[in-house]
Amino acid sequence: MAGGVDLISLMKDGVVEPKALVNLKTIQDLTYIREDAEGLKIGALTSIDEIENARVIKDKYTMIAEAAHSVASPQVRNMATIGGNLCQEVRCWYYRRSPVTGTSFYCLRKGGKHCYAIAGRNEYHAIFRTGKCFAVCPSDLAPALIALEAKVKVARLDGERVVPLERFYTPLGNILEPDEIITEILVPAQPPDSKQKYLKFRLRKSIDFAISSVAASIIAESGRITKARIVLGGVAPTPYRAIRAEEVLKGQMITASVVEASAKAAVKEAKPLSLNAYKVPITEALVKRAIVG
Amino acid sequence: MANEIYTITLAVNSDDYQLEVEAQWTLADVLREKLGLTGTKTMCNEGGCGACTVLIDQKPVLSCLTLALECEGKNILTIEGMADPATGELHPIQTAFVEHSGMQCGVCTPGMILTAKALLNDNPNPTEAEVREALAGNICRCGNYKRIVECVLAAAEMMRGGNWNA
Amino acid sequence: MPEEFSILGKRLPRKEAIEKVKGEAQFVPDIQLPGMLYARLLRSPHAHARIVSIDTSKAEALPGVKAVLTHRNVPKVHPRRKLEYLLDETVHCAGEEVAAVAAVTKEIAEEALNLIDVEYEILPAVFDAEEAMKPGAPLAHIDYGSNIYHGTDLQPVPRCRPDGWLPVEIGDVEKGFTDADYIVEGTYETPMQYHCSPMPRSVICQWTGDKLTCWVDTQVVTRVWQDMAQCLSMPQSDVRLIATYPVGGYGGKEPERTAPLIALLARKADRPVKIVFSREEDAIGTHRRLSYKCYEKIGVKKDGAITAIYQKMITNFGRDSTWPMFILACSAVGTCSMLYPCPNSKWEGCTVITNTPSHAAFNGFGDPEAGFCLERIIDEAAERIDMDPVEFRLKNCMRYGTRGLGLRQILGLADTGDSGSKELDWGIVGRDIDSLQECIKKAAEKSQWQQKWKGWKTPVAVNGPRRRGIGIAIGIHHSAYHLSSAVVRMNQDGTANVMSSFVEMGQGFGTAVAQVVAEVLGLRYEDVGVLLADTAATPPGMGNVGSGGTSSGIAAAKYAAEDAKQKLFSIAAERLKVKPDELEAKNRRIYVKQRPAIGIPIAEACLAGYQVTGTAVNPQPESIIDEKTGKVIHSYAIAATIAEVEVDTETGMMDVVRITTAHDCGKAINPTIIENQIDLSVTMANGWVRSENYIIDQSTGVVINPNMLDYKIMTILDMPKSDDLQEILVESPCAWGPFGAKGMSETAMTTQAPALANALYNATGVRIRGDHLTPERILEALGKS
Repeated sequence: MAGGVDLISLMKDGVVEPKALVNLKTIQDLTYIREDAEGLKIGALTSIDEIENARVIKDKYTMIAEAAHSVASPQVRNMATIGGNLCQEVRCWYYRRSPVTGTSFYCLRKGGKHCYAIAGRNEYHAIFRTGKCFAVCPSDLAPALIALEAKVKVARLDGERVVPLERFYTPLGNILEPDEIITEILVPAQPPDSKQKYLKFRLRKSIDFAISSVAASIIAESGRITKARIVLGGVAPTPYRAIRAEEVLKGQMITASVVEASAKAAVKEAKPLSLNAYKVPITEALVKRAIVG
Repeated sequence: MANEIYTITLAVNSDDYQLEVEAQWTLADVLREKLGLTGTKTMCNEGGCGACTVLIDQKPVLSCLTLALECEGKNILTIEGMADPATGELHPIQTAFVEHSGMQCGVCTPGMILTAKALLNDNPNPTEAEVREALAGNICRCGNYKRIVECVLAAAEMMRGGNWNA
Repeated sequence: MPEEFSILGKRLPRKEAIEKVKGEAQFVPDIQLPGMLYARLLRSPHAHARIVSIDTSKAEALPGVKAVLTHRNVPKVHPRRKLEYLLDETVHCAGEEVAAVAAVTKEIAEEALNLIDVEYEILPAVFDAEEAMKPGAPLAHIDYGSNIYHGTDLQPVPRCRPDGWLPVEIGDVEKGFTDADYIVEGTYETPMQYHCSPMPRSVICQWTGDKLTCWVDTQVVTRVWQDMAQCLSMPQSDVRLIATYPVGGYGGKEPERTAPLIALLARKADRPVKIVFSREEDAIGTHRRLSYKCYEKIGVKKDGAITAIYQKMITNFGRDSTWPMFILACSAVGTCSMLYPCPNSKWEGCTVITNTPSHAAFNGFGDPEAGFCLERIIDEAAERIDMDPVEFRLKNCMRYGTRGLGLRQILGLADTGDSGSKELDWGIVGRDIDSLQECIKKAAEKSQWQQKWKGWKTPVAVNGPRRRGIGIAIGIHHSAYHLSSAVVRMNQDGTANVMSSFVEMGQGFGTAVAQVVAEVLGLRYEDVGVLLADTAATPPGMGNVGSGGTSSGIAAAKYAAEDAKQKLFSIAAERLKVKPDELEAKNRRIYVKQRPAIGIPIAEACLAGYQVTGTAVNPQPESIIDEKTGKVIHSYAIAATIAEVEVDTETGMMDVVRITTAHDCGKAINPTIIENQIDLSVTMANGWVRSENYIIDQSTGVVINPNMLDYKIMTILDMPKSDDLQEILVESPCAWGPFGAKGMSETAMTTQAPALANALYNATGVRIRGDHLTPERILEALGKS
């Protein structure tokens, strides 16, 4: 347990019933924001609030500050950690159903055979079908960090490994083994003229998770795009790298038609469920706006 | 979880409480049920409304998602601690809420007042937009947001003019 | 000569403000009693099922469990004379309670629930109103025999047709349509809504010998008290209900089943019992707003006159209700028959029983729903003849002398006890309603309508994909003038206590009533204390429903204060050797009007009298007669709202830029409190159509989002900036209220949703006739998804 925001919620809903809680906050020196020649290093227990307000992040890794600011509410940002934000569980209302209501759903993600969202209420679920579960990865920081090519340091008792954040997520969670924790997030130094933008679309202007979000990192030389990374959040079981959208941009000038073509490419693979087709035009619009900045 | 009991000391407002808690008890439940400090309210009980906000080491946090066990060694401020402990005089934020009708049913009020206190600590002269951003995690079902903003701005003015330590 | 008031009309701080800012106001969940047990309820996973067997033996044997109740060991009574029994052998919605447990801790009570074995026989269920109306549809309530609610023996609805439809007809609509130059028609929908009271349902019961004390979070204390005594077969004199600090009921705070259940648990366990619903339980196990589907047709002439209106409304009743058919009747009379008094109008409505959570009163009580339907088609009609929508409303809206009726008459019930009549005996609306024109004009002026409205199909502004629009809606709601009573007790130090069964749940009743009583008695505001909602001391009253706090509750308090004043004047007159009618009371003194130096302190009169108590019961509503026409004046409040929105046509996000609401209030007792109430209704109505969605799975009847992360209440960032949330109070004294003041809390709720929809149309050129104005629906309407 780090900040506890997600875990205690899951415990209250009876989704997890741990026999013991391990308090990660007793581990020394996992709360830091440092910059060196390699880039930015953030300790996994650093609070979202600290990240949102850190000078170096606001100046040079703006997208991370934008994503951090969009998380939940000011109180949650004071409590929640970046490690917790990256590892948080899905928000699917079938998965999280509290048994006090008399109804419970033993869904596919819990080990059952059936996903209730497909034929049920799926307006907040995935439009990209990358697995059998359609709950979306709710993290705001994950798409932003993946767009910046972040890596995470994963530690266990007898050693550690470094994993690109892009390969951290699986359709049903992440690659952490039961005895592993994230200890650090490393973001490579960005070229000074890189453009970064994180845009989050949600029903309310606070508290809500993303209906769709876009993280775009664009590097251009003399107006021509040399590198583009576009990552979508809230629309797939894992953060979704919009590779087709990136390919449209490579080597191009940022014109209206190029941007539009890229946005269309971003959602080309989308296969909405019965109630969430509205996410497609929203995602397209966000991609356009994130590229232009 | 096996219901292990832990003996802890909690520093709440200007008092120290020694008590026994189970690991999974939240701070909100302990304040309300064990310490009789029912000023902290639970409206949604899952971090979505801000009613249970208390200040821990001067930062607003959600007591319904905080384990009591983890609060040892920290300074907890609840609504009961807002008035002057020596004289009982209301804090200017409380006075502003009284004078400018900052509450209707009163459930969100403790959370609003404490969050406002933390804001004015850091920013004694906030704009309306800054007040709204600070209260973005506090839901008022009675729709009293406009008045609440007025109260916080009025309190800020009072505090800038007086001797109060935010 | 205009009256000068020293307390009335002043923005005085709330009576209960200090305890609320200190966190000392104890809501029911905050109350702890020694030896108290905690109750939990077992809930059905099935929407419609018969309990074949229920075995509680293992639960009862669990150490710490002190009492268990099921349908087998509770009395077979209908709380609030509803369809269902206290605990029914058949459950009629998913989440309905089937058993109650009281134990020494909440955890043990919860564990006990898991030890109760229930065998269900699953019955066919139906969730959608129109589906339930089809021939061959499963019966949602098998014993009731029909899915169209038409009253019961305990609660008859005399004017309901045998087929379950309630009719209201004036003139000849068919002829009216033939007289029209244009006809506009369409089907409109309005959504359900969850009250989401800041405190979930909670009750504490404690027996002392054979006398029962209950702390109940409710807004209708007298009703709940009478009903509990009935359910428990007890004399009212041995039952005491206390609701000192109930919390934002918004119409729905009536724990009609829970309170008697907890009383029975407490009796069985012989210890006090407390229940606090979890947020999830509160969302599925209390009540919600009716949803409406309305087919409407309107005929207009080129000059803007309305020749005919036809409305057919179908509502989703759910499994039960504390106000069956009343809400529908309210739509029929207020918005549908009075707001635009055209000479030919026909309304028919029905309410359909389904296996979904029950419905209750909810801010607006049928008028927001009807308004969301009517005010959208009114806009379409105005467009059809290319008339400015403000002008169209000014031309056609109700005014003094327009027909008026009380909603009970629509049902065929009299206002007091006896059976009513099937004939509709129309009265009128009073002179105060002429303020509607003033409200419309003031709202138009403040919102800069003339500058912003550029004509039909022309947005206020266009900026890339962002388009701005402006729209208007007007609304009406009754300002309930019920029988109510009050007591004003003078204390020996010259202060007073006003005693009333109305509640202070945040709407400002306690403050306003103290202001009125202080004004009448010539005391200061701080001299008047309020003692509310304790049935051991406070006399009966309808409670805070139908915006009746001011019109009913405070009215009674004013009469009681006048009664006390007369008694004080008799005492003072004797001491001063003058006649009582020569006296005046102001500033804690009773003095001779013509010779103010001659007088005594009010305290002296109180001490001399030893016991001076004023009592009163409101006159019958039918006794409020219009001098000019001799007709009964029915009590209504009106509002006009102009909304300005900005729509992002690529994402469907609609931001609300400005909301201007002009509201009549008769006489503003405390302008701050009135503005608070307008803000409440504005915010709640915005949430109703922009972010709140009470989602019921149509295959299982399960409420999918019973929590506050998935059921989305407006946050502070979703509402306009303070300067752009504008409240205009129009004072036009009414015939029945205290000092001409009228209750108004709910009327602003009726105007918001249609104003937003009409503004959305102006911005984007798309009309949404469905029930939500969310990005999803806006994108759909724009053809983008």
